[in-house]
Amino acid sequence: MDSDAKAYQELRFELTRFATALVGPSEAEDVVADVVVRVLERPGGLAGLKDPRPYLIRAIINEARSRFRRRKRVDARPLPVREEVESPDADYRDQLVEGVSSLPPRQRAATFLVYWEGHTSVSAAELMGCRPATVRRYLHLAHRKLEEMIDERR
Amino acid sequence: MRDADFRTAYDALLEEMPDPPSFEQLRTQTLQPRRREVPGWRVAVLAAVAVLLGFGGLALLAGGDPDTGNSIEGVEGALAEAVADVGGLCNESSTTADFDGDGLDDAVAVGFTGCGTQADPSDPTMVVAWASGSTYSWALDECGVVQPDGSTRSTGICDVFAAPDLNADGGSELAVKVQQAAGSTALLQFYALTPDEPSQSPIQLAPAGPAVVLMYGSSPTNESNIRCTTNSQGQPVFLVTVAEFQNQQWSVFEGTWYYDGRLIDFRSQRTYSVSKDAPDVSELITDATFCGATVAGGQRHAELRDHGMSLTYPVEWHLADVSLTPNLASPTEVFSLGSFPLEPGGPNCAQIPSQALHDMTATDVFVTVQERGSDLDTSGFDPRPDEFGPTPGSADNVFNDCLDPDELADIDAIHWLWFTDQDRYFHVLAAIGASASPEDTAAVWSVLDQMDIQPGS
Repeated sequence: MDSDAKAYQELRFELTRFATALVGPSEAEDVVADVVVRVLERPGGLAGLKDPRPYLIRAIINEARSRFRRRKRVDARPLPVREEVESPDADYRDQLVEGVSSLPPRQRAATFLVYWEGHTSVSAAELMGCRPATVRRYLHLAHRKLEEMIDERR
Repeated sequence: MRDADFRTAYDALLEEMPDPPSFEQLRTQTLQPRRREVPGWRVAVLAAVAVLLGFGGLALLAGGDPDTGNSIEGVEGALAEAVADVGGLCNESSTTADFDGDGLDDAVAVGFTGCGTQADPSDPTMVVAWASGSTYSWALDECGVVQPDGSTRSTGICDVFAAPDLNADGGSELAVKVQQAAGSTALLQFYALTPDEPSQSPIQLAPAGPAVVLMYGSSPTNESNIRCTTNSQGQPVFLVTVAEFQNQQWSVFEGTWYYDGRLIDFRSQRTYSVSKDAPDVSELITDATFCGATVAGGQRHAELRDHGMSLTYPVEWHLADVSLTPNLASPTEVFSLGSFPLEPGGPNCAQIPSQALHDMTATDVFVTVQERGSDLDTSGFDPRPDEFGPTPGSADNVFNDCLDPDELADIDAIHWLWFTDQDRYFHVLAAIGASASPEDTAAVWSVLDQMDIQPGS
């Protein structure tokens, strides 16, 4: 296994999980592929990056932002709809998924890294390439937007 | 809304997480010819600058890989309408980026009004269309041809482009290139654009520095780029690299700007040569990283002329552009600052910015200063302390009648301070979130310590 393959092997699940959180399951594989292929085409490839993890995390955020803008431009695509709504809890969960899916990518990145992966605002900021206060601002905005969306549905 | 709600949503999304693509698939894709998609705005900007500078193709990769940029037709349309509203622009240059950090592209144009009505167009103007739909315009007096005596003649060329997030406030900066007479030297100015700022005006982050060679080229004989990197001391810098192929080698120019927490200032330049047999010169300019991660202590300065006061505050904080206590007649609100977006009003108690306190989360901080008229009772005001800080005895119970106890749950402490300085009398309300960082908490007191208060009339 060459060094690029080894570097990718170590990160591929984390990158795909992060991409799924940011763009949803249907586009995650494409996002990871686009980002990694771009890096592989650079001189030095993946193994040439000093610290591939934050670099790829930021690249995925940027790719998600590009897709988010395109989606806004074209039209809101239908969000993933769960086929079976079994209970009020399931209905509420669908609303949460829909709400989170509509957040801008950097707010999604911040909420995923902090609330799901358990990062502090400091470590999330290191990965995202911004200041901890900026991460906290994204969290604040995400909370408010999600709350507004849920309230509108009630 | 609870943190757990986000976890629930992500759990649901991850239930359908696809398998990662295999490395063999990715390797195969690198062997396929790929068509690089160049956004329309970038083509337009590059073409305009190319014509103006007299160069061939351009490769302005503002921000560099991994950042990518796309515009929104809607915001571009809004920009066109806003430009029409100011009567049209001559020598127009435009760009698109997420300047306010909301995840959506905003659009900016600069140019000169008065086209077709004067012998020489004048009034350099900047127009911004936010993704929200609102648009603004300002005079941009710095734009134009810089004269030998340092003045600016407003008949020149001014180009705008998006820079990376240099000051780490979450949004791209706007770089404005001011053409230095005829030729290929220019000045760079940097602006932070944010709809949260008072008067919505751009904040100039860098003074006019020395003229430097600044041409963008991408051709067999020209490669240029802008990127953020770090210098040998580990400080983030903004680097413009221009490489020109001549005499069988690449002549490389590097101009360096450095963000010192207050200004982005030109610091150094160097030139060197690279053999034509060296690895592709693009390697010199494509390893982009972003300044934002390592910039610390970014500060903004605000002059509150109507209130005879100036203050310095963390760049990522929000300074309210309207009074948060609109129904308060006396005392009067001088300023309000928070680590979160500030909204005025609120249902309870005119003297309290209750909407802002309601919006505050556990990680936030908030401070507001009100001035009491000297014609009112001014007993009980202590002299301004050497250093502000938590005050024993300041208690949340001052606000118990104004705020729902649930709204105070995120707040660790509300400090209510009175002081007098320069024959003026002030109330301070400082609220610290239960999980606010030590840096933000310290910054609250630092903002108060650094207030520059003019004497009362």
